[in-house]
Amino acid sequence: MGTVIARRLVFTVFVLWGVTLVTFLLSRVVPGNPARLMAGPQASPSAVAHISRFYGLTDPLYVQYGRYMRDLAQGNLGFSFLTRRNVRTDIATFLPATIELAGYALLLGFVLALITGTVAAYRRGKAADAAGRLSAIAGLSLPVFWLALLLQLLFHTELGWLPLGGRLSPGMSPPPHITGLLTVDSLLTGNFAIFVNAAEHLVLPVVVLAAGVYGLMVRIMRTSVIDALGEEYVRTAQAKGLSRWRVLRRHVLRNALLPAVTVLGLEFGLLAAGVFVVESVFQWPGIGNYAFQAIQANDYNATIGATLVIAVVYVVINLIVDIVYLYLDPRIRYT
Amino acid sequence: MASWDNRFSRRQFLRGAAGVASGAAAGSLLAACGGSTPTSTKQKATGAALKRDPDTLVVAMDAFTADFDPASYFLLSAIVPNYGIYDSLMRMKGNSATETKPWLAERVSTNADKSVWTFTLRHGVKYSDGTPFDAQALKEAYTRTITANLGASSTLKDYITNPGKQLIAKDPGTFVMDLGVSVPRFDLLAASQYGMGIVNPNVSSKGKQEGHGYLQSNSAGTGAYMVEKSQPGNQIILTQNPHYWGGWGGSHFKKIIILQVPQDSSRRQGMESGDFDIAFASTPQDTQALRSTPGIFVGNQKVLGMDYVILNTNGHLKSPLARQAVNMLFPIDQFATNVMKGTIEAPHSILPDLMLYSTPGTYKAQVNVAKAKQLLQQAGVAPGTQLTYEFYTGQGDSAGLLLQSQLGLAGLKVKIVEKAYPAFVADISTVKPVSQQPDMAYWFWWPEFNSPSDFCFPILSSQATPKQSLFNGGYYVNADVDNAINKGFSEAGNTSLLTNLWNKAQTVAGQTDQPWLPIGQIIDNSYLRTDVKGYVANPVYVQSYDFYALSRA
Repeated sequence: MGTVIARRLVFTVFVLWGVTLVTFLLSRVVPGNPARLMAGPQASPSAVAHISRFYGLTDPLYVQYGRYMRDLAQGNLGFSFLTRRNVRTDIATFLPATIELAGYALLLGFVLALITGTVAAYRRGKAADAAGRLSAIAGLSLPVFWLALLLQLLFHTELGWLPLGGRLSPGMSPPPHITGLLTVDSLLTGNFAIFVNAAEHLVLPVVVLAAGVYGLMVRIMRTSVIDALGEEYVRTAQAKGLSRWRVLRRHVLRNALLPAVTVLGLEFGLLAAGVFVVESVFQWPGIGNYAFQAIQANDYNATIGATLVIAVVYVVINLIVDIVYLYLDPRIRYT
Repeated sequence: MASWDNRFSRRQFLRGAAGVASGAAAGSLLAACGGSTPTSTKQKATGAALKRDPDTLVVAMDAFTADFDPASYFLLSAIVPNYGIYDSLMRMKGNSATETKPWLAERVSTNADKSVWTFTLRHGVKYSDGTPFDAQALKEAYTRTITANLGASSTLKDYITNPGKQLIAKDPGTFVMDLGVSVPRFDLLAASQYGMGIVNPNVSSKGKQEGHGYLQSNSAGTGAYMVEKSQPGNQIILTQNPHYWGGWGGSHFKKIIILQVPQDSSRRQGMESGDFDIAFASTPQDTQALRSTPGIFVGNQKVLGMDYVILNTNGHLKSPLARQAVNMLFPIDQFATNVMKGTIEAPHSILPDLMLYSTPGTYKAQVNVAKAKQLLQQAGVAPGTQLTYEFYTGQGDSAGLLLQSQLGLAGLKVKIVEKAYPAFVADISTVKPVSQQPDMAYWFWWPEFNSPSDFCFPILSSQATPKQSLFNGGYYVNADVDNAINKGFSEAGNTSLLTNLWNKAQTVAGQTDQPWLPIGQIIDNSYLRTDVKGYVANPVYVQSYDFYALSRA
C-alpha cells in the first residue's frame, strides 16, 4: 500500500504543476489589464503603468511564471488585486467555509443516498423504489441556482424559518479560530448559541449542494445493492440464518459501497462546480465565491491560487478514496 | 467616474459583478430568474419587523473593495465604507450638486483670481488613534496621495504638481493651496470623494508603499467611523471613532456592517425580510416592486452619471449622419419608462442634468425611421450592413436588444457580443485594428466632482482615445468639444466663455456630430428601510451614505 501511495504522491506533484502552468497561461491570454481594473478607469495612464510595474505585470511571461513558481515553493501565492491581500491569507480565510459547507453536503447527500438507495433496492419495483428513483432524478436535474432561489424564497422570505445567507447573522462574532469550521469551533469553545446560528445558516446551502450528490449516489447505491443481493455469498449468509440486518451490514453494504466510494471522489468535482453557484447565491464566504469573483476580475494570482487549492483538495480526496478502497476491497492490495 | 467593480458590482454583480461582479453564468441566470421574485403577502401588508440589533446598520452592496487608502481607492465599491471613515476639507451640501459646505475646514477664503485657496482648519480634530490633525498633517497626507501615484492621485494632480511648494502649512490651523491658475470652483474638487480623503500621515511608517499595505485592512481617518474588521468578499465592520470631532451625543449607529451580497434577488429579499437596512439597487423589476412595498424607501435622486452607447467613428458609423440616424432610431423615453422601469431618466444633453454648464434641451431623442433611412443612405451605409454591439455581462443587454430591433427597421443588422468585464474594458480602452473594434458599445460614466471637463475628458477628448489607454472608445474627435474640455481646465475662471463653449459643445455633440447614443441619466435607486432616518442623497456622491447622519427612528 505504501508504494501505491508514494506513486500517487509523485504523480500528484506533476498534476499540480500542470495546473499552475495551464491556469497561469490561460489567465494571461484573457484580455484585460488588472492594473487598470485596480487603479480605476479614471486613473491616469502613468498611475496604471506605475501599478503594473510595481506588481511585475510588465515583465515577460516566463519571468512572471518563474517568479510565481519560486514564490509558490516558499508558500507565497502572490497578491490578490481584488482583496488587496496575500492570496494565502485569503485562502486560509475562505477555505474552511467551503470545507464546512461541502463536507456537510457530501455527508448529507451520501447518508441519505445510502438509505434511500438501499431501501429502493430492497423494495425493488414497489412504491418506495419509484419514490427513491424519482427523488434521485430530481436531485440530479434541478438546476442548483433555481433550487437555491426557491428555497430562499420559501424558507427565508415566506416562512422566515431560515436565514438568507452568510455564515452567521450580521453582528454575531465567530467563535475563536480553531479549525475555521464554525459549527466545530463553537462546540469546542462551548458556545451553543453560535453553533445554532451557524447550523441554521448551513441548512439551505447544504441541502442545495447535497441534492446533486444525493441524486447520483442513490442510483449507484440502488444498482450496487441489487447486484449484491443477487450474489451467492448473500444467499449463503441468508441460508445460514443470519439476521436481515447482519446480512445487510456485513455482506451487502460492504460490497455495494465499493462503487459508491469510488464515485464519491469524483463527486467532489461536481461539488466544486456547485459550490461556485451556491456560495454566490447564499453569500457564503468560501473559496468558490472567491474564485468566481477573481476570474471575473482578471485577478491572476487569486485565480491560480483558488484553482490550485481546489486541485489539491480534489487530488487529496481521491487519494483518500483510493486508500479507503484498499481497505474495503483487500484484493486490491495484492494486485 | 465609471467604476469597475462598482457597476460590475453595482448592477450586475451589480446589475453584475465587482463585476467581479455580480457573475457571469450564475449571475445572468439569477438575474434572469430573480428579476421579480414574488413578495410575501404578509410583509406587503405590514412591512418587515426588525429582529436584530437596532443600533447596527446593515448595508448590502453587490460588491465592495476593501481598500482604505485615500491615495488608491477610486471605485464606487470602495467609496461606501470610506465615506464614513475619511473626512475632506469640504463636503457637498444637502442634495445640492453645486453648493459645498466647510467640513474639516471651518472657513475658506481665496485671493482675487481664486488661484490661492486658504482653509482655516477645524480645531480639536483628531485621527482615530488620537493623533491631532493640523495643517502639517494635512500637507503630508495630500503629498502622500499625490506622490504615491496610485489611482486616486489624479484628482489633486490636475492642479498640484509640486506639493512641496503648492501645499503650505502656514500655521497649525491654516492650510493654503496655491493652484497656479484660477479655479473658481475648487471647493467642488475639495469636496470630492475621490483622492481628497485625509489620512493620518503616520501610516507612512507602517510598512512598504508608505503604509499602503497597512491601509488595506486598517483605517486611519478623522471620520466618524473606523474599521473594526475587514473580510474582503464577505463583510466590513465599522465601529464608532471615539475621537470623532462631531461627538457622539444624539442618535447614531454604533456599528455599520457592510455585506457583500452579489445576487440581485438576495438584496431584494433581504430588504423585504428586514435583514438589511440599506441595499444597492437590484434589477429594474425589483426596484419597481420595492417602490410599492411598505416599510421600504427607494431612492429617486438623479446623479451626475450617464448610461450611453459609444458610437465608433472608425467604422460603419464614421459619418456623423450615420450616428444621427442611430440616435434617431432609439426610443429613449420608452426605454427609460418601459424597459428600465424609471430607474434611469431620458437624457436632455450629453452632460447630465445638474452638472455645471449642462444645458437641457441640447439633446432630444425623436424616433424618425424615414429620416434615419435617408441619413444612412447619405452616409453610405447600405441596408443589410451588419454592425456590432458589445456589452459586458449583466449590463447593457436590454439596450442592445432594443437597438437590434430598432436598427432593423432601417434595414441594418446588429450582431450583439457579450464579453466579460475585463475583456470588454480592454476592447474599449486599448488599440485594436478597426475590424476588431465594435461599432457600438455600452458604457457609463460619472465624474469625480461636478465638472464637465472632468466628466468629458476621459470619454470624449481627442487626447483620451485607446491610444492613450483611456475611454474615448469611439475615437471621437471634435474641435468644439475639445475646446470646451481644455478651456474648462485652463480658463476655469472665465464663466461666460465656458458657458458659450459648453453650449456649443453640447449642441454639436447632441445634435450633429454625436459621439454616443445617450440612453439614460442614472438615478440612485438605493433601497432603505423607512425606519432609517437622516438619509439625504447627493447627486455628486453616487450611492453613498453619510453613516453619521443616519439613525434608527
